[in-house]
Amino acid sequence: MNPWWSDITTWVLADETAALWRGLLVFVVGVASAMLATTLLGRLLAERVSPQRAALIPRISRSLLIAATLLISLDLWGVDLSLLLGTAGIVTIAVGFASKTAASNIISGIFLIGESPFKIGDVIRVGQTTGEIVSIDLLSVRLRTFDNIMVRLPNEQLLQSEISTLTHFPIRRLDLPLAISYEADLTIARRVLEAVAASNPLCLRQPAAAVHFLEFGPSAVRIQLSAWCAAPHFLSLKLTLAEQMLSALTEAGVPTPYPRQVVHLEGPTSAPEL
Amino acid sequence: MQRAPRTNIWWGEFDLADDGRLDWVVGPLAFYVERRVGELIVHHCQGDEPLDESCTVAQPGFGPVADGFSAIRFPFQRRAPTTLRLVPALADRPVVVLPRIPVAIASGESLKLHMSTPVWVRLEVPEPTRELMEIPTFRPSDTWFGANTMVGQLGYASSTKARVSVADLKVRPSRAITAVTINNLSSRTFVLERLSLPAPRLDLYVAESGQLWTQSVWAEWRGTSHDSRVRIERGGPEELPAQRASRARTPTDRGVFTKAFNLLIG
Repeated sequence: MNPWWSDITTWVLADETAALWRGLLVFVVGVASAMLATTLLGRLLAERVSPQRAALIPRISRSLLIAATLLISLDLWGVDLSLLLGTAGIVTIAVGFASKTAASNIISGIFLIGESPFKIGDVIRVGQTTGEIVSIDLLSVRLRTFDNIMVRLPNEQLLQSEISTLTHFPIRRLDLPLAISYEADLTIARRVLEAVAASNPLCLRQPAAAVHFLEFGPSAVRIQLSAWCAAPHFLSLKLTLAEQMLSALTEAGVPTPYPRQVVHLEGPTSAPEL
Repeated sequence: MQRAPRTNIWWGEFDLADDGRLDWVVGPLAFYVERRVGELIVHHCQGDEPLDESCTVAQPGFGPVADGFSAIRFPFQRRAPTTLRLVPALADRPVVVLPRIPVAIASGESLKLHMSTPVWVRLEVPEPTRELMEIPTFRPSDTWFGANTMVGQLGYASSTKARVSVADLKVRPSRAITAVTINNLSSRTFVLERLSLPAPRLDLYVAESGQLWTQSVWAEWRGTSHDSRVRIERGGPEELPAQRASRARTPTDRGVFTKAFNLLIG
C-alpha cells in the first residue's frame, strides 16, 4: 500500500478526526433538513396566511435553523462557543451601528407584516405615489405605478407615513366635481347628473349616487357628483362617467363654463388720441 | 338545421349546419351563432328594456352583422361542434330587489311576494360538455347590500312590483320568478324596503307556459336578524307544476340558515 494513502487512511480513522466528521455530518444533515423543513413549511403556509408571511416565515426559520446547526457543528469541532458568542456580541453591536437603517427597515417590515395594513395586489397611496403592491420584503415594499414605474419604498418610511389602501374595502366612492354656470338651473343639473349615474351599470344603486353643492366660485357654482362602484371598476367608471356627465349636461342645455371674469368699464370708453 | 316553433322555451340543444347561423331573441337580448368549419362565432346585443317580452328561438339567419353587436370567436382544433346547447341560468351574484312601493307586514301576518330577476344564457357544446360563454339577457346595475360600506356583498339591483297574485304575473322569457314568503312573528310591523335574493343558490324550473321559476324562499322575522330564519325550499314552485331546467351555480345544503336573515333582508 502506498504510504500516502496509508497516512490518509490513518488520519481519517483517527480519534481526533472523528469529531471533525461528526461535526461535518451534523452540519450537512442539519442544513439539508432545514431546507426541506422550511420548504414544506412554506407550502403549508401558502394557503393559510398572506403571501408575504408565507415567504417570510420560512426564510427566517431557515436562517435560524442553519445558525443553530452551525453552532452545534462548531461545538462538535471543539470551538469554544463562549468566546464565539462574546465576539458575536461585539460584532453585532458594530454591525448594528453600521447598518442602523437596514435594521430599522427590517424591524419596520416585521411590524408591517404583523399589522397587515395592506397585502400584495392592493393599491396604496403614500404621499404623492400611488401604485399596486407587487412585493412586500424585509427591507422595502415595491409598488408598480399606473404608468408602469417600479417604486421602492423603505419599510421604515412606510411605518412612519400615512398609507391609504385604496382597495381595502370592496366598494369605493368616486367624486367628480364640476362647475355649473350661475345662470343654470341647479335642479335640472342635479336631475341630469343623477340620471347619468342611474343609467351607468357600474354605478351602485346602493349607496345611491348624489349631487352635492361645493361652493359659489368666482366664475361658476361648483357641485360634485358622488357615485359608488365596486373597487375594481373605479378607473373605468371615472373615465366613462365624466364623458357621460358632460354630454348629458350639454344635451340638457346646462352650461358648464370655463373660468371667466366680467369687467365693467366706467367713464369715457373711447380710446384717447395718441 | 333545426327549426323550432315560436315558444318561450328558448333553451335546449340545436343543430348547427356548416356555414349556418341561428338567431335568438330572449327578451332584451338578441344573439346569433354562426358555425364555420373550425369555429363558432357568437354575436350578441342587449337592449335597454329589461321587461321586453320578445322571444325568437333558433331562427335561421343571414345577412351582415347588425350594428351594435359584439362578437366573440371560439376556434376548435378539429371541426366546430355541430350541436349547440343553451342553458338558462340565474345571476352570478345576489340580486337586490327593491319593491317600487315599500311593503309593510303587520305583526302576526304572512305575505307571499313574487318577484322576477333577469336570467343569463349559457352557451355550451356537448360531448364533452364545455361552456363557451354566458350572456345576461339584461345587465342590471351593480349595487351593494350591507349594513355599511365596509361589510356586505356586491350584487345586482332590480326593482319589482312585488306581485301577490300569481294571476298578475306576465310570462317573460328573460325573467325568472321567485316566490318569497315572509312571516312576521315579531310584535311589530315589519317594513320590507329591499331584499337580496340568493340567485346563485337557486335552481331554475320551467312551468308549462315556458315561464322560468326558481325555488321558493321562506323567511321568518322574529324581531332581530339574530333570531330570524331564512330557508330555500326544496323542489320547484308551489304555485304550479314545473320541471327543473338548470341547477344552482352554488348548490347549497337544504335547510334552515341561521343568522342569515341579514343576508336576505337589509
